[in-house]
Amino acid sequence: MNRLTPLQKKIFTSLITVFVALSFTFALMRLMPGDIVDEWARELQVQQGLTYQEAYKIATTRLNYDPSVPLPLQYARYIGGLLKGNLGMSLNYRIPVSTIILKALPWTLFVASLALLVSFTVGVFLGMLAAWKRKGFLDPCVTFYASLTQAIPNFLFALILLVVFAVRLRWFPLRGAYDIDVVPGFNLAFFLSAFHHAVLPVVAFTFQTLGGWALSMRASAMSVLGEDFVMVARAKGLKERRIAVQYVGRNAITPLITSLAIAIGGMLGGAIFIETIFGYPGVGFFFGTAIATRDFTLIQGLFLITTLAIIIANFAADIVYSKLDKRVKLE
Amino acid sequence: MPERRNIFVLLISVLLCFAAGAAALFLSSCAGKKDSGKVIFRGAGSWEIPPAFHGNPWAPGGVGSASWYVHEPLFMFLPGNRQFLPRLGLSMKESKNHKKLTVKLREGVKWHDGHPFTSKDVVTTFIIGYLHHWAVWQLLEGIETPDEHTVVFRWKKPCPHLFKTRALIEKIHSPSHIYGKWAAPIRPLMKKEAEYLKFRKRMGYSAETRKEGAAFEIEKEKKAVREKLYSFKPVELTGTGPFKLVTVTASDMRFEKFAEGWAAGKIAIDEVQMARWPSNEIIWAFLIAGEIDAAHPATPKEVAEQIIKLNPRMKMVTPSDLAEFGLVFNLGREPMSDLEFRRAVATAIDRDLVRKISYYYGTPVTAYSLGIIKSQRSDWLSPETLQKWEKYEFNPQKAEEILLAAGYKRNAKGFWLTPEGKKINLEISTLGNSDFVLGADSISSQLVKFGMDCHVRIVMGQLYGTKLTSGDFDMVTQFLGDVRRYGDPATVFENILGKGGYISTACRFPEEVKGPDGKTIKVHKLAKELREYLPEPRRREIIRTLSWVVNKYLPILPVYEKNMLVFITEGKRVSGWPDESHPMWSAVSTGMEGVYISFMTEGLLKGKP
Repeated sequence: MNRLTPLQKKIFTSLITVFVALSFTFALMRLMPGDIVDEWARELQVQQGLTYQEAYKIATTRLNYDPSVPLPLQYARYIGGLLKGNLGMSLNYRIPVSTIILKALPWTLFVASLALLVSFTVGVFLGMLAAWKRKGFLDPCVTFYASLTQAIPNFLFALILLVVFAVRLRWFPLRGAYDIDVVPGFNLAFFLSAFHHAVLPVVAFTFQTLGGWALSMRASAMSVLGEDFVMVARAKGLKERRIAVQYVGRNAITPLITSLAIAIGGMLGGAIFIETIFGYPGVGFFFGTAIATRDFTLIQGLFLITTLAIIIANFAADIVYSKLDKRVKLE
Repeated sequence: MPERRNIFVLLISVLLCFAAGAAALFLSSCAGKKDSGKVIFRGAGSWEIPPAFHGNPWAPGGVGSASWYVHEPLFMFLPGNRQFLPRLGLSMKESKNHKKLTVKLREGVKWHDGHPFTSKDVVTTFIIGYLHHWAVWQLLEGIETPDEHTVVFRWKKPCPHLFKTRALIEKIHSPSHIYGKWAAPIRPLMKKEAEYLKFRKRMGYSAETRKEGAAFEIEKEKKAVREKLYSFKPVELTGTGPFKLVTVTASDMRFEKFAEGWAAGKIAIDEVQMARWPSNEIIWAFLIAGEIDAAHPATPKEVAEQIIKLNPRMKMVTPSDLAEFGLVFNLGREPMSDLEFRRAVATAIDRDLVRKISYYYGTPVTAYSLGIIKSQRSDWLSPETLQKWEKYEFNPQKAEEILLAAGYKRNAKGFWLTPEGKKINLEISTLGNSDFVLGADSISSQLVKFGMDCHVRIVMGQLYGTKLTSGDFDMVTQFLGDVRRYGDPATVFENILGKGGYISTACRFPEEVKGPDGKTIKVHKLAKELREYLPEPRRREIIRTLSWVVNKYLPILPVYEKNMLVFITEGKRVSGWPDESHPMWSAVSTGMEGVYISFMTEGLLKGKP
């Protein structure tokens, strides 16, 4: 290991993390109590008035899963498939997991990246202002907002948005990613409809994360405000705005880069409740369905994508951080 | 000043995002939906969203609620009064020995792609159904097609109502010109399997040897055909139904009227739009917004009243869902194993109060525990018979007396102890549905008030079956007396008392019990016999006996008969909803969309006046 460069070490540990994460996910799925075929059979039995034996037979034909295959063999097949770039076939839908992810990911990226952009920029700006004028009105407001939004579950806020802006005021559509009347493709009507439908999910995403960014920036800026170089800048008589932006803001935002990277990675996992409430066909929607139906391969595939995204984003953050702050070196 | 510029750029980006949203809002509102003059019906349903959606009704993923608008059965069944209404079938005739059922098909019916509908399509659907273990094939020997518009079902033995209904209400969704190529390789497999089964019977093989040798090979070949069939995922969904599927997205479906449909002349609805059903709470929002014309979410009284208040065009109908909500007792665990204790619990619960809290619009079930739902009780049990049976009406005083007589006593704090002096501690396991949780909580509170330590445990849907099978519970909430699909008590008693039944397994009901005259009643055997064709008097006798067993030995306690709460909007987009007395409403338990379709094909639902 000593001969490896820091970059190579980082890549190596990232790969180990991915391997551990996917093995853990695989085991966790199988350790969940309950028998997937049995569950389907019981549901069919009740729905269709069948005997248990009749229902079990039907359930086994529908599911792309054979519980009698030994776990080590299932694991070996899973890893073998991954090495070939194959995420497997969904147990319930019997279509490649990669097809589902490729269809769902753009919607999640669209909404989540918009939300992240808004919440990060506004949050950082508010946090900076709160720290700069910490005896003013804004500081307690930001803290109160952050505490409040952390306490309200995002699905509840999404429901409130839906009732107020879609049901009562009718400003925004109730559901979906675009209007059924438009033809998906490279046309203005589709883009406008997609933006229109994205507003409420974006606001719901933004609402809860904004406070967190503001508080982080506030804390970071407060610590920078006590640094000697800020005092020197003041002593030099530099303009307040220049000190706030160039001296405090620039240094205070650097520690947030890692959090931002993790958030970028995490957003690929979507938001189950928000996407379900708004009928938004993103990754979170499929995550929710896959968990409800115990679609092991789909859950594994979605977990893997999220894990990879977070690890890559973290990796990128480390590199960017070391470039931004010369005191930090990649080890 | 590069820093200031950076912040400025960031702010501009944010503003641009908002501006884009606002522009989108403005333009899409301007582009708005102009009144096309079409009569549109809007409902709600569920389906697998793209890319999981496809037009093959056999393959996983599949068509979901779209099937109701696109596919049709031979007959529609009204389980409330056990009536068959013609759809693709026009008439049916059973042979005297009940081993042959002849169905005359409607002539001139077309598939959505223009091909004529014939008896071959019925056979193709049933043959592929064989590959999917359709239960009807347990009794079905074969299907014949004497001509293009006649289908003959031949049964291995006299066919009971249950199997006849199964055959008649299956949707005919596999046209032979598309699915025939998959049905073709199944026929020789059916023959092979029939020969093997005869051989096995001759040799006296047990069911355990089924996966050996020839049987294993047959299963392998069947699986190979299935896998090929599953890989067929057409974009188009073909049916004979009154509507053609035009568009599917993650949130909406759109159907247009099939102009060449057999009922097209009567149907006044030009287009059906369906919103995806994410949860009851969202459906309430859709109803308040007037976004949909009909839906049936389980709704507490206060919410229902609020919906009606906020949407004045809305009204409610409450037909029976042909099932009862209630408790299943675990007879394999103390103190529930003690019949006297179960009697006391049944008498200590104010079932009508539970109904009011859990599902206000249910029908109270306050006296007996029969297995048969309240609305169908008079079909099978006379008042004279019932008068002789024990009632479990709310009476805490009586419950106390039962317990004291059985040796139970209260401790100093007023909590009940077993005859061995152990404090009674009960658990009610329930699914997380709001009505189930409220019901379980109300029962638990009442038992605590009565002096029994009791708490509620919410179990995830995926684990509920395992919980029931494991026997790790005292009481569970469950739908009981379920005759939703076939309107036949045979399925009810199979479930509660039959060998391997969902509830009998959970409650550990014994195979035999003592009857009123002291003679042994073989409950497993009787429940099985009820699934066979029986002369009516014998059938009634078994139903009476098994009802008596359930009422006497109390494996279950029904609390209320569930009524569907159907919200319908009159006059916004459609009008003409019939009132609650219309017999078609009794089919809600077989699928709400089927009822809407029937109102359309009967010409009842029209555009706004």
